[in-house]
Amino acid sequence: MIGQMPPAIRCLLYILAFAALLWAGTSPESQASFVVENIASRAGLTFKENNFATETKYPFETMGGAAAAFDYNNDGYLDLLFLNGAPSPLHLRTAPDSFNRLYKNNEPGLTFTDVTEGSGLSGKGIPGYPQGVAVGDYDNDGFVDVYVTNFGDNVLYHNNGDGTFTDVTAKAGVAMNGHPFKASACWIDVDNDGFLDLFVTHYFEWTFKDHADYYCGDRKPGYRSYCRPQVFKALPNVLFKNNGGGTFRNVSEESGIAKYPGKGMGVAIADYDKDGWMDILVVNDKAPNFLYHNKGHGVFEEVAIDAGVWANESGQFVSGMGCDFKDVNNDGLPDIFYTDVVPECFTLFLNRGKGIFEDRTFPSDLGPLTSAHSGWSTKFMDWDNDGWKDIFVAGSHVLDNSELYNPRTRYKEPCFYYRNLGNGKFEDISKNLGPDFQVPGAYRGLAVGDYDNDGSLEAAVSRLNDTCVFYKKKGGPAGNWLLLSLRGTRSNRDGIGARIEAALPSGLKLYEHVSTANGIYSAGDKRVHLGLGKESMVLSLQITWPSGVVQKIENVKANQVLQISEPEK
Amino acid sequence: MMSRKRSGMLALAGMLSCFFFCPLSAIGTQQQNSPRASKQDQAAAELNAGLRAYQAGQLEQAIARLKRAHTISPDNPQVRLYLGLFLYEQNKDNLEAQRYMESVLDQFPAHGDLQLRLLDSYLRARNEAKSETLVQQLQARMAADSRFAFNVIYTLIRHGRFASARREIDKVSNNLQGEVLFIGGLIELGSEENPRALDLFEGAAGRGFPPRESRQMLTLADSYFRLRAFPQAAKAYEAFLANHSDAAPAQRFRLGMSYYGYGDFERALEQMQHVKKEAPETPEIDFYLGSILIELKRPEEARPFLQAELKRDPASYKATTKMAYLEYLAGQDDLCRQWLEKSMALNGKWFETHMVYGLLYNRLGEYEQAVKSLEACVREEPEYPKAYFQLSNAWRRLGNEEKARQSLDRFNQLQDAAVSRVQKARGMSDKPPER
Repeated sequence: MIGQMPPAIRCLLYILAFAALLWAGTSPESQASFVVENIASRAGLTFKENNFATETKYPFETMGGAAAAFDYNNDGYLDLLFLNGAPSPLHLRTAPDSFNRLYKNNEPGLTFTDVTEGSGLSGKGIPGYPQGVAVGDYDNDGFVDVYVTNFGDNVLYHNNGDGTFTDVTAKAGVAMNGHPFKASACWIDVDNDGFLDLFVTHYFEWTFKDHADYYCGDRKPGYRSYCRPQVFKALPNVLFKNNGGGTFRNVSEESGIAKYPGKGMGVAIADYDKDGWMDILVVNDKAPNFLYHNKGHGVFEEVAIDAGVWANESGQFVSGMGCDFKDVNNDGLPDIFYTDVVPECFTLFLNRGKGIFEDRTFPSDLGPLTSAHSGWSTKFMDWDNDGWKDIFVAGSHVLDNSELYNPRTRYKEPCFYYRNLGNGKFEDISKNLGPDFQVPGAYRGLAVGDYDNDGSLEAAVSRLNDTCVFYKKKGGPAGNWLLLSLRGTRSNRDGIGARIEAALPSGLKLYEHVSTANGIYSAGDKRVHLGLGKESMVLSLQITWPSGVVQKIENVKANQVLQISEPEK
Repeated sequence: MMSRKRSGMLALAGMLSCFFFCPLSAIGTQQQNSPRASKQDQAAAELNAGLRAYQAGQLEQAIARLKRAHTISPDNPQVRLYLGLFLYEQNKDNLEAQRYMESVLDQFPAHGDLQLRLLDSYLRARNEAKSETLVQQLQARMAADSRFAFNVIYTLIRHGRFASARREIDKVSNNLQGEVLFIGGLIELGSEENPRALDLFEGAAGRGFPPRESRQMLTLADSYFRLRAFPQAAKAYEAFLANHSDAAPAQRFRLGMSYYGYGDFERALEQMQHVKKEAPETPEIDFYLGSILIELKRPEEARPFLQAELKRDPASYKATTKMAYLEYLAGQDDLCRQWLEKSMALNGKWFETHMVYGLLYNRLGEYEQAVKSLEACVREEPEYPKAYFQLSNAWRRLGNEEKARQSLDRFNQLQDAAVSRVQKARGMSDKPPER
């Protein structure tokens, strides 16, 4: 029929069809640029991390800086927790400049109030140098709890539901008072019993008694440096099974986790082989990565080498730092990204199915884009709501005197944002994001979420010995969105581990899963954010709950926070 | 039988005969018309008479004539010299002799007999402080003249100063050993005994030979380079270039290659950029600039250099393979394969061509082909760790766990060795640090 039309009209129809395709589809190239503003000060986020650095260069000083986004008071808006440092060697915090800070979201208006005092989360009087944070409702009481990893004993804070938290570590049995140096942690239901279990990484063996007098670096004033991880012994990570009733049991041995010593930094979770059991990725520092495959019921086998994520394509063990484990190319299979330290480049592994990953660092352009930079926490996020997850990286080197050893390196770096072009390639748009995004710092923790429920994500980032930043997107096309707040009934109440598949009218499918663990030391919004681009609705939303229940919702309108409860069947 | 004193006198006279007549007669003829010249003449006459008496074995008379000469011309250094030496002959721990010898020590810096006799006199007088100081003063000459050093040490031994003698003989031995080891290294290198050559060169360098400013430093650098001892080569080339502004670009090129050889790519790039600016026609300069930029993870910056290399030498299989690798990195698998086919046609034995084929086949899931290519790679370059890593991956995908493990073990072994070499070159270590 079109063939019978006059050429001019036929041509016009083609042009209109092409324009309609661009309008309806999620074409990343069609998105205009945007900027971000650091509104921390305006929002009342005055937190300044103090790492209490010493001339002795204790290794935990350059770590830490944890940040967590979670709604502690169930008012529907994300609140923020930052962890602080502590003075060595006792790590007993008594002064406000060493306290953790809990900020309550005062929405509307995106301002925060420091509600640390009386919350029980300040860390006052509790020994330990904070490193990481994990948030999750371990007792399914509807209120998110907080687990803090320390150099020292870890601490589990139970959310009392009234704005206060209680240290329940002793009762829960999750202090980990063996080897002191812990890093990241995450909540994960490893056996799908409806209760969140707890996974914690050990960094390496370091004690004041045996290692405090190690001297690394040149013996010149100012040149002493933090020791390289290679000089310390590796340690296995730890898995605690939630018994229900507020207690946990260390199941590292029986789960298989204890078999594999490493130097764990970041942790992220995903069911990478879609077998219904959540798997765990741990990025190790200058040691082979771990991919713990959940064989079912929380019994793990470390398969990094079989999966191809043991090392990068050249067989190098980089200085693994933060990581994320989400589907970045919308093929339904979770992919892996992790940061490291210059001159290594951040690494992207694409999941090719059948348990095999392929290093696509260079074909994606991330290799050359990142080889001159160092990064800590990271997260896949879709700032421009175009349906393709981009990558946020908190920049900074590990060594605060790195420039003395190599003038080409920078200790303080800005954050980085790598935009997913939807064709397997990424572009570094950091420089386009405005002056606030160019400020160098010793960035560490990252807590991403939609703090004002407007469909556009915000990123809270901690900086060692500096005030935190809070980036809010400004300008550019808004893009449609959907924010899914899942509530498990048979599954764990947070829905951690639930897989989401969203079919869009254009034919594109988006894939996500619920997790609060990302990057290193950090925790993000448990709600699932989907950027929909120009799509005004989701044709079909499928949720596969950890219980095995598959839930389908059709014709979901865009631009809403959708509460979803797990059905009985 | 001749007395010991008499034999010593004759030896002294024989060794120093030129001092007896030549200079003094010259002074006498030049200054004969002034009153001062007259005094000099008298002093010269007395000195010559004293020396003749000494030659005749009349030590007492010789000393008497020299003392008269000293009275006439008290500042005359030669009179002081021989008076000191003759008084020493008369009484070896004579303090007066020591004073005369000390007074002219600086004026006769090459006078070994003066120095040795003064040392002997101090040691006999048990003047430890002065003997130590004198040995220190003699270090430069000892370093330059091993025979003289031997005589100093022999003197120390005769007086039972074994600790000092040991210290000095160690120094002399080191000096000589440096040269001997260096020559030994060259001989072994010429005989293709490379490990032995490397040991000898390192031994020589450890003993400060060759000196940084010498041209032999270039020989050492080139030798290290030939031995693929790249960290040592880089150090030697740096020393040579720092002291020779006339060095040829080829030497800087090899410095760049040395850095490249042990993975210091930033420094390698700096040197190669320097060469490119100074001598753009240097063979393979574009190839190495491209290769270094790839290692620095800047593939798109590498591309124009490799294209330039191919323009200059279209038959460069090495540059052709690098182009294939660039396309592999860019995810352009078809283009990668096209470049590889070209490279194979140019040289089917180039290890890197097989390596990139192996990478490509692994990416494409053609694991049997990957194994073939990677095995060809390690046949040509048996110590290339990355090939074993990829080979391990290919075997694993094919389900051959045993072969996968063997390849991985070999990878770990080679990679550990490579990492250790780099760390050693950069002064790093995985061992627990010092406290």
